[in-house]
Amino acid sequence: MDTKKKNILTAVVLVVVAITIYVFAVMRAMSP
Amino acid sequence: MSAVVAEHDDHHDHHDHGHDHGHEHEHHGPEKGILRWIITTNHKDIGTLYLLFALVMFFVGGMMALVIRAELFEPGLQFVDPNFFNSMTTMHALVMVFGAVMPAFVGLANWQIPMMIGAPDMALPRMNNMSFWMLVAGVLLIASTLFMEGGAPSAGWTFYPPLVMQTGKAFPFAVFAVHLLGVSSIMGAINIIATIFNMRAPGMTLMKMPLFVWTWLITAFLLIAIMPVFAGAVTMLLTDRFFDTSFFNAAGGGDPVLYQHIFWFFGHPEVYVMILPTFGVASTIIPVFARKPLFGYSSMVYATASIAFLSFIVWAHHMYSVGLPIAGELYFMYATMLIAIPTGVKVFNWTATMWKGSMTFETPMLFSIAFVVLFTMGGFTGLMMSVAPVDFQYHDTYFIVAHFHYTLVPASIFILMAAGYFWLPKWTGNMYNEKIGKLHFWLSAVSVNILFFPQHFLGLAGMPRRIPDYAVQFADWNMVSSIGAFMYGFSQLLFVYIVIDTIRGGTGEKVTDEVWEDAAKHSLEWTLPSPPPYHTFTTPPEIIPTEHV
Repeated sequence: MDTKKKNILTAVVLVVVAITIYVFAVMRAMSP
Repeated sequence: MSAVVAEHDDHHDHHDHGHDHGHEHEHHGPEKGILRWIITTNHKDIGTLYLLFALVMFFVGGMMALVIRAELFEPGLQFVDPNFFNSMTTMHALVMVFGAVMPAFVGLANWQIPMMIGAPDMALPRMNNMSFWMLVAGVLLIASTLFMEGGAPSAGWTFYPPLVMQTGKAFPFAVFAVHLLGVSSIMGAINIIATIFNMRAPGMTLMKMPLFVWTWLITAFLLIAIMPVFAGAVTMLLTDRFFDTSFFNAAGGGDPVLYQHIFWFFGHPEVYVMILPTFGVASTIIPVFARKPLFGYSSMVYATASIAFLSFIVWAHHMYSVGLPIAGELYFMYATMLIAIPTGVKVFNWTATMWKGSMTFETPMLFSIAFVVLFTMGGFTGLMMSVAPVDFQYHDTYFIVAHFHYTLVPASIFILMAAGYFWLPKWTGNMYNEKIGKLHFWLSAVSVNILFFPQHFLGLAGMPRRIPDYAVQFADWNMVSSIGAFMYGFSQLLFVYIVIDTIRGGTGEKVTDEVWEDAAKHSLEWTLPSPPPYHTFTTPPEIIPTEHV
């Protein structure tokens, strides 16, 4: 895999991590 | 290394500087005029933008601080109405945290990380540009709330409900600004991680990276973990206000303390976002002027990682007085005390690096030594506050204000100044005026203590924070503190002079590539010309400096 593809893949993985944390934080606050 | 080619060709959007191709002849210079700065994808240009923006915001936030200190010069209400005073404390914090300190470190990261790891640029240059302009939008939006009906948010930078719900028209704008700042930070963090993971020169293993790069790698992970949590918290505030939810509204079955838990889960690591890169810069500067390798490189890396880990499990030490169960207080107390161990390792290592070194005391070193001493003092008051039963006396007093300003001003800000003096000659090719640099240092070091040290006494005597007026027994130390504030604030103008003067030629002395004696033994940027060409390391370096390892 060339560096450019690796960079984009890294970015995509980290964006998914960030969105997951956001969703988890709100879900956690909603649970009784 | 080839020099800058002035004319630009048709490769503007060719940003694949992957060194696997070795296209050394595709160098192009920057765009002409203002467009260069708007559309730039060059890490050095974006670094410069971040740094200049941070410097401007440092003065904007500083002026707000001077409004606060002017009002507190004497007891009674003098200059501003109480709500505006509270807006000032809130905006001062937001502007300094999100507009000055964080962007300044991102600016340093942009300039230095590619040059330190032998990479041609940041991994995602277009996203880099977007992060910067989103930051500007976010900070301008939050600043614009000052002019809205009802005034800027005045509930403190923590935005605690239910108080924050009293914010006027500014409320949704402030929330949106926080979202913009969060997205900008996350994009910046992603870029830094991708750069460090994928763009290191061959031979630059993780454990050979300069400490500054290490601390930023760990900080970037912190940012990705915490910014979405803060975004979640303010989104819930927004829905509580406009969509009748009751996350934090007790009348609807919610709990305002829940907000505090969520906020500090973000807020505590956030303070480490500002201090870990500080540690990184100090660990970079001290060995150069002590003319010794950094003492305990690997322990520094592990200590940084430990501090980052611990930062996630101590948040409720900000909330001892809300009525936590006793087991919770005990847990958060002991967990917080643990942070002193890796931090102590760091202070020990900096001291040991200087021990028996051939030290010289140029301005960057002076600021760094002051950092070690004064940060340690801020750390010790932190340790005092970690003791839950004692914290009931300190909570929400000026003691807290003194504590965190010691960890932010003579620590983060001093190190940012040190970084400026340390790298400006490299960035510009010109030497700064050492006499004025030293004058700036001594004025800052003296006045910062006049400013913040008396606040310890005020806090212990019971003066609450975030109030525009106070009982007369606090008058003397408040006056001293305010005098220190104006001295400190105005001495920073010397730094502005230094920056402008150095860019325009400085002392007239052209600096060498190394700038500082044997600096190239420590880190790769000193092997490049001063100033470095627009594109550097389009072919990776062959020798990796390991003096610091």
